[in-house]
Amino acid sequence: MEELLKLFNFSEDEIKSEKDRIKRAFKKAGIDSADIERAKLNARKYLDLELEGMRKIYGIWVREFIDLVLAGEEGKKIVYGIYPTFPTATDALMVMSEDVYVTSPEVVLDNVYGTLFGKINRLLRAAEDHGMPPARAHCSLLQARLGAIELGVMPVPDLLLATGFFCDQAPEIDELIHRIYDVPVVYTDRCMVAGAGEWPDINEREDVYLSETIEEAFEETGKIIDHEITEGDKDRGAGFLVQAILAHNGLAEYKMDKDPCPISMLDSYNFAFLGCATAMRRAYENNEIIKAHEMLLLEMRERVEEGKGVVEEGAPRVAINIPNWVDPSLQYMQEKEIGLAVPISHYEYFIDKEIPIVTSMEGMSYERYAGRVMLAKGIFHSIDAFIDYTKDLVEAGNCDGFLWEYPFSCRPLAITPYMVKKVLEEEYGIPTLALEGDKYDSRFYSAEQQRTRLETFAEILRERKEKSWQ
Amino acid sequence: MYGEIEKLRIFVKRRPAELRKLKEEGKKIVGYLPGFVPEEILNSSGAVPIGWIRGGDPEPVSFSLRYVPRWIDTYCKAQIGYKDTEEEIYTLTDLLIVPVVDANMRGIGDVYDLYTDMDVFRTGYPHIDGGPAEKYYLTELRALVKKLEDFTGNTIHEEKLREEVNHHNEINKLMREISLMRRSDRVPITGREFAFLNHSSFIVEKNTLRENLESLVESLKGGEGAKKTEKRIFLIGSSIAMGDYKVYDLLKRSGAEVVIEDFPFGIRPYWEEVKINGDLIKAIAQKYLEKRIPSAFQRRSEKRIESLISLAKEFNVDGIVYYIPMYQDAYQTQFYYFEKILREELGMPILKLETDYDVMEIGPMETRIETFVETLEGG
Repeated sequence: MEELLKLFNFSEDEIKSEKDRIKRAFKKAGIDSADIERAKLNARKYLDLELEGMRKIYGIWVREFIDLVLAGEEGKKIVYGIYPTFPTATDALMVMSEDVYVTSPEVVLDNVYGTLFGKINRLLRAAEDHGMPPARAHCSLLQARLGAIELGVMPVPDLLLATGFFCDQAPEIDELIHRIYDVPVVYTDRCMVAGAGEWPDINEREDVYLSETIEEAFEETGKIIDHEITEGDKDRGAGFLVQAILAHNGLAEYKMDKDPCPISMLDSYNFAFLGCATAMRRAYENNEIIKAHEMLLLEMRERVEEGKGVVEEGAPRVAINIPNWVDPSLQYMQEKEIGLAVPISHYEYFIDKEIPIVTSMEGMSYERYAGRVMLAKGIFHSIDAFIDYTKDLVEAGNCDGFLWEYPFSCRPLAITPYMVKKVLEEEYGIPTLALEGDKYDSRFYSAEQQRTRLETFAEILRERKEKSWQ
Repeated sequence: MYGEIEKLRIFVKRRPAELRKLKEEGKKIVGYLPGFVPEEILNSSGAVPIGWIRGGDPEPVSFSLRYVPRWIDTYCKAQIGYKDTEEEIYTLTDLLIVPVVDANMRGIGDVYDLYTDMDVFRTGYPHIDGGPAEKYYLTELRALVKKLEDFTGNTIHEEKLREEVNHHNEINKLMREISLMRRSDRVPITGREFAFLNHSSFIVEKNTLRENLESLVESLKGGEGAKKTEKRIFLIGSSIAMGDYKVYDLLKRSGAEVVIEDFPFGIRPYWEEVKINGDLIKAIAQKYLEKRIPSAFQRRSEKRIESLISLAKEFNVDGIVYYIPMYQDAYQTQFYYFEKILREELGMPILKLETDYDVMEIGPMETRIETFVETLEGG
């Protein structure tokens, strides 16, 4: 265990002082010595541990996982946001009190329990037996949420903060958890009515409704967990989020047009999700997110100066939506084995159209701001916006194509692949591969299944690239 | 079969030809996914509303795979796939109103937006209750009014809206009257016939519909016949499309009859009327949002489950069949706890069936239904 923790920058002192606590967490989560060995192998093979910044980042994830597992027995009031969440909302809850533990647990579980320890499948199977049966295209990210509670890997919360601004399944599953475990739920809501041509403007009907439901949800949350959420909490929460967004955006902006790309998408993504996808106290305490950003930026600059990258210079470049989380071999295959450079993804980067909305609360309530941050993100706005945002992303990253590996069980995204491909190719000339997959479940879509199609796509991009040089 | 129902079948068949003629005369055809879109408003606009309610055929589902992957609610896939058929209620539509109750529904709007010249208007339907939801739905209905006015060039006047509200209240009252007759053990109309009545109500011209319903009510009053021996079934699901009658037929063959159903898509929300006093749009919003039995698209399930239990008792059912399209996540998820609660509260068995509108389903479905009905008889 110590060797694993040292890979993620746990100091000797920390290991010594936290040893019992970590052991308790691992025991509760069913992590044994075989799992620890697997995690070491996975870490060494798939994660870029040469980067001190990434070791720091993975250390934050592991610490957050331990906090999650032990939150109940350590007497915290536990609030689970759900992915995708309003990070502004969950961040305000996070800073409210040390006695309150808040996160979107499925994100933490997938990144640590899944990517590192390779144990996510047992959570998925548990969920399949308790309301989310197989072969029905239930979201496996949410299966992890339900399964982890069912198996006692994470505690039953005191409150569920259910966001329904993009995903229907998320609040549906929270209603299911409410029914099984008698946990109170507060809901926010939105209907995606924005039509063709509205992007980049935010649909006012959606905007107002969402913000009013967030306001009600906040009030209810405060009552249920018996902690008032003050304006100060909201300010600090917003401040943390802006800090995280600017850090991620800054890193994405630096690396996205570099050839060769100095960092793999799996690593880059683990940084991008830190504190953005979910509240994570460990990301903010002692300014860890800022330190990690500064460290990574420095290390990437060094790599760029040395001409060092994840794949060779001149490799075909693709933008993606998000990488595969729980099976790192898929991302590894794309980059290291097939030789596709993946310099940018949807979730890492706020394009110019979005930044003014995301970084300024001026003239609006906190609740309105919380909603607008998410509505401003192209992928959450409408299919029109998804396509336009993707086009901008491909241009910004100097990409040769777009790899749309869509998660089949995510309804709002699973509707899109053929439409996105059609428009990107016919209107913008961007080669697009629509590839069915599952980011959060390694059982059904393996690296070998995808290899042939990805290799062919990479070849097409290479040939086009070579022709364009001639 | 009653003459009125046969007449309605003919009117449904004739409707595409009528629509073609109306379109040639300059009328605008407004297609809508019926159940969440207030017909009162559509009819007031001077456009010709036509419900997109077909389903049950495998071909449109296959055609839909040109546009969306298979992992979408089958009923929604069918609505997409009809684009590539000769079903004129789809191809003649000028403006499509899509109630965005979930991502599956939204997908219908996205496909028609991208692949056709059809105008598409998405209208929100809140998933929660409470003040902001009521306020939002009102905003959505006012936006719908504006869209229709812009599209047709007609102003929706209060008098016309009132007239349509009265008209639809009457239609719903007649439908309610027919439905309540099924509480009797001398059920005068089959479940399949009742479903068809609802389907025809989204297609046939409203005055014609009303005349036939009025006549049918009179016919039914005298036509109860002998006491029925079939097992009484409550059929529940997200959508029951026109053409998707296999579950009715299979139940009938097995000695069971659907005496009550709950489907937000496919069955009219006939239980409540629009109260005609004060702000009409507000009154319409109240009927369509607050007063109806909530669907499983609504996040909180308490009111829905209480309502369904109450209906099951009122109609003295012997068993429940939960019939849903594949990949319909809201209804799929709710089933897990719904089943447990129903068994506890009612002590009756529940059978879950899923469909992808595939003919190969019929054999296994029949076996399961037969076994289920035998269980009811044994119980």
